[in-house]
Amino acid sequence: MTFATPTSATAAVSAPVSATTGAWPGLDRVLISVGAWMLGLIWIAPLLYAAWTAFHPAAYETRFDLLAPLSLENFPLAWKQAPFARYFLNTVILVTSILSVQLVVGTLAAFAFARLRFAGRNLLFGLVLVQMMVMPDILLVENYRTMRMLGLVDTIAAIGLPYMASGFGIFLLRQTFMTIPRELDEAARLEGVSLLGLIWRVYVPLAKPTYLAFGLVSVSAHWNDFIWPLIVTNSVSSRPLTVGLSIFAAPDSGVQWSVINAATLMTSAPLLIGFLLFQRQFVQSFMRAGIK
Amino acid sequence: MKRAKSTCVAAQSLPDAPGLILHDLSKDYGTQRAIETLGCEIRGGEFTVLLGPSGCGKSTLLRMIAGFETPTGGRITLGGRDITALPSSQRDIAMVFQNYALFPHLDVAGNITFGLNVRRVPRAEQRQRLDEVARMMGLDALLRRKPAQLSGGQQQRVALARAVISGRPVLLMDEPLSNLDAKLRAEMRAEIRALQRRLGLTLIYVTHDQVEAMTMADRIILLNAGRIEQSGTPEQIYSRPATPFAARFIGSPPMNLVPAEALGIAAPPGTSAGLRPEDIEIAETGLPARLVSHEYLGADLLITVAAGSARLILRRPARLGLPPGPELCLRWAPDALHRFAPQPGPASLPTPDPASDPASGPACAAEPAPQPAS
Ligand SMILES: Nc1ncnc2c1ncn2[C@@H]1O[C@H](COP(=O)(O)OP(=O)(O)OP(=O)(O)O)[C@@H](O)[C@H]1O
Ligand SMILES: [Mg+2]
Repeated sequence: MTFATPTSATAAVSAPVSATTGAWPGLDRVLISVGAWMLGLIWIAPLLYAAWTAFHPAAYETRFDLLAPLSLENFPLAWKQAPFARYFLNTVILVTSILSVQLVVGTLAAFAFARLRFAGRNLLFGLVLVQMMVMPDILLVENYRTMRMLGLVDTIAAIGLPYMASGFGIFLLRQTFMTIPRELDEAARLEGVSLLGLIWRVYVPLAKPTYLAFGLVSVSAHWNDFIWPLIVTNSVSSRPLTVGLSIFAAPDSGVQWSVINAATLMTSAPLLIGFLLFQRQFVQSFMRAGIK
Repeated sequence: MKRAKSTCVAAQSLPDAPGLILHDLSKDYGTQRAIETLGCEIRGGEFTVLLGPSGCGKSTLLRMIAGFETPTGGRITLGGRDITALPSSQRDIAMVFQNYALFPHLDVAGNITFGLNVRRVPRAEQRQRLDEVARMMGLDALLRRKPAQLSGGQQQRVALARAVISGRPVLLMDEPLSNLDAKLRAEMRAEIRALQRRLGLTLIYVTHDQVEAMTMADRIILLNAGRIEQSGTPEQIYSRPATPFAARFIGSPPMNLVPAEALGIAAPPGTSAGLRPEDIEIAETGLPARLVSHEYLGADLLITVAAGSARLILRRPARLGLPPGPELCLRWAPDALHRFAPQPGPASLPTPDPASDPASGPACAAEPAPQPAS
């Protein structure tokens, strides 16, 4: 015992030394830490700036003073100067309708791809994969033309429709469904469940982590989506938060930075708070769903 | 469906569990034939074991009965009703799967009542039947646990309970004990057997373990390469094996199977002779043999001897010890000897060595036909 301790200690020390070039033990680790912190700071700096200005009077927009008086007055100001309540409502309707249609379509399609046999299954699944490869931005013009044909321009439906059949969602759910043992499927069929009953009672509950992970990705993507809603909407009644905010923040609107930043914080707060509250569940389900 | 109305199916035996008949059933996977055309009867209320080596088609046969595989040819009738084309849920069949197939997201109670739920049995009746079955299977204390919180034996019991609560008269089991340790396996064997008796189920049980088959079965159907080698009671198959395969597959150590000439028996060429290890005695007179090796098993002793070119294993109580010298004589009762006509196709038996002559053995009185043991 007494002999073992010094040996293992030297072993522990010598390992990182030999990993680096020798003279600077642990230098690479220090560099990595510094780099990570730098990147993190650069990434969070705008957010910190926004938070700083939002909570201080307009006079402190460009002047950093630790003792500057805190104030909440920017928030009601922002709220009053633009129809943010309506924008919120639009975004919530948009995000929930996209997610619910995605889940229904994704579940049914994924089940079919995972467990049913039909002609052209592989070809169709190939097309689903292709959808994942295509950048949505490429389709902006084509999508706009389709929406105009359907007479949907400047509606919430037009913002959501192109995203409702999510190739990513179908793919993710299919992979999860394929890992569910066939015996479970057979045990349920023996008891006389219908096909929909089988999906609802066996497949959906067992894929819960995947649903949670996909839900988060989908909600945050569409909450923050900007270009497409900007193109396809042009009235308060259909505009989501992102577009509303950008119009509100446009330089020619003459609104103060502190108020704009208060609005920015307001619009992203629900996502941030939601993520912080459910952080642990999200991380776990990402791990279980195999997305990292 | 008078059974469905009765609320206490679980505790009562089914008066007349139906039997199954397989008519010329066959199954191909692509070009490979998994089940050769076979026919057999599985009697109602009996414990039937499908026994055979790995890959012989036991699971395939069971899954065709359950309705998970479509037969390539033939029909299946259950109690006189043709069920070949029915979906599994309408076949009046329950099943216990090898890995239990419990739903991980449901607790024990939810798993057991899954089928009742699906079939919209009223809540009150569900609860009553659950209570009854849980008590019978000793699961009362575990009803709120998830399958992951149960031991293998408990999971097995839940799977059984789920099959029993359905009140269906036919129960299929595919190697249900293969994931349990030896002690638990012996316990569950007795438990399943008792359950089958009590409820009068028609039980079809798949296993590759001949001990399981011998101890549990009313009737064994022995399969080999998609064919039925023999079917009958365990005693019939053990004492009168119909083929060399049946002779070698059942019994441990397996039956000695040697060319008839090696034992000094007059028979058409190519005939093989079989002797169970426990049927061979060491005697003063008989077939001369030489001691090769021995193996001590506690109660018994396995002795390997060479008689001419043939190797034989014999089994006798360990307290009798080894014979005094390396040279000895073997004897057996005439009705212990099994003769198997030459098999068509490639012979898997050792060819007799013409140079060896059993009569040339040293110490024994030359006696080609061994004496019956008294
Ligand atoms: N889905 C399938 N596709 C192709 N061949 C199959 C399929 N299922 C089974 N087989 C083949 O059919 C034969 C019988 O298989 P089966 O599973 O019935 O054997 P088994 O007797 O249950 O064996 P084990 O004791 O190993 O479970 C095997 O040769 C197997 O390779
Ligand atoms: Mg099998």
